[in-house]
Amino acid sequence: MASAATQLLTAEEFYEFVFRRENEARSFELVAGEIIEMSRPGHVHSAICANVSFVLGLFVRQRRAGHVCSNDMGIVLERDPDTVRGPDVALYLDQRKLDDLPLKFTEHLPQLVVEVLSPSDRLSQAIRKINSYLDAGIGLAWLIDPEDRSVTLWRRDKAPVVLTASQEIEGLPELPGFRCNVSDFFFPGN
Amino acid sequence: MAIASTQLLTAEEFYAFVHRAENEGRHFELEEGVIFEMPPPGWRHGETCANIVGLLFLYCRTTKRGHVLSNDTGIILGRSPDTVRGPDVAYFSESIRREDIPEQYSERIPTLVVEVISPSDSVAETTLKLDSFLNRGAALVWLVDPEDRTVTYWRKGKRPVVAKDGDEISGLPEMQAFRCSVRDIFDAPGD
Repeated sequence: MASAATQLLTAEEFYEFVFRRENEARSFELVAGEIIEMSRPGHVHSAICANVSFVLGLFVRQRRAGHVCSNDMGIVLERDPDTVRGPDVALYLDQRKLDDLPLKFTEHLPQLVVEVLSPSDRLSQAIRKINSYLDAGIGLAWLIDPEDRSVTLWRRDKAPVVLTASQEIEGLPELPGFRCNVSDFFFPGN
Repeated sequence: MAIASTQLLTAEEFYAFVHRAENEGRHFELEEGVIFEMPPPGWRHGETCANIVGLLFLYCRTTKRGHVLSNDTGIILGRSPDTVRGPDVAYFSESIRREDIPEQYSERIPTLVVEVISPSDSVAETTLKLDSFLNRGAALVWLVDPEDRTVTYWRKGKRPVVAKDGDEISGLPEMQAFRCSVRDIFDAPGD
C-alpha cells in the first residue's frame, strides 16, 4: 500500500518518518521516493527468518569474520529517487566490528540478502524486490517459500536456481566454505 | 494434486485418459509419468488469456507468419518418463499448414509460452515449470499476473525481468515487430 505523500522522500527524510511516534511498531519501505507500508509477518515467517539467521550466524562465527542482520534493517539501494528496502536477513562477510556499523540506515551492500515469502506475497512482487537488490549490486539473493519448502537462488546475470527440502546449499562462489541443508531453514521439521 | 496410479503413463496413454467420458471438463497435466489435476481457472484468468491470444493472433495476421495455441494444448516436454504440459497460450514463429496440425499432443516447442499465474502457484513449482519450457527450447516465457498487472519475461540462463502497468512490450528479438502495452493484456478490449 502506497501512503499518500506530496513529494518524493530521501532516505534521510524516510528515516525521520519511520521513527515518528505514531509509526512505532509499523514497518515501511521507501521505493523510488514513495513510502510503502509492509504487512506484519506471521509465526512461520519469523521462525524461518530466525533459522536462517542462526545458520548464517554459525557460519560467520566459524570463519571469524562477518555478521548477520535481521529485522528488516534499512539498506539504501538507490539515490535520487531514493529506495530503502529491508531484507528479512542480510549477511556481511567483512571484518567490521559492531562499533563500526552505522546507527541509521546503511549504504553498505551485503553479500547476501534473504527474503521469506508470506502467504499474501505475489511472485511478481517478490521478483521485483529481488531484482532491486541485484540491480543495486548485491551478488546473491535467496527467496524462501515456506509453502513448498524451497529456496530459490538469484544472481545478477543468471537464471534462478530452485533447491528443494531434500537438497543442500554448498559450493556457492559468493560464500566460500558455507554449507547447510535446505531443511535447516524449516526447523523443527518432520 | 497427484492422481494415484500404479504405473507411469506415456503421453499417448495420458491422451486416452484425458479423453475418457468421466474426465470431460476436467484438466490434467502429466509430469514425469504422473497425472496432476489442475484447478479450473477463474474469470479474470480467462479474460487475460483471451486478450493475449487476440494480440498474438493479430501479430501473426499482420506479419503473415506464425500461429497461436490456446486452451492448454498438450505439449510433450519429456520422454521416459513422459511430461505433457498445457501452457495457457503458446505462440510459434513458424507457420503451419492445416494438414500438418497434429491431431493429438505434439513435441513442437513454442517460441513463446505464456502462463497466467494464479494466487496459489508456488515459487518452486512455477520456476521449475517455466524452466522446463526454456530447457526444451522455448525462446521466451511470459509469466502474467492479473492481480499485480505485471508481465515477467523469462529467458534461458537469464534473470527474469518484470514489466509493470504502463510499460510497453516491444523489441523482443524473437518477435521483432510485436508491440503492445502491458495494459492491453489486462484491460477488457471494449474498455
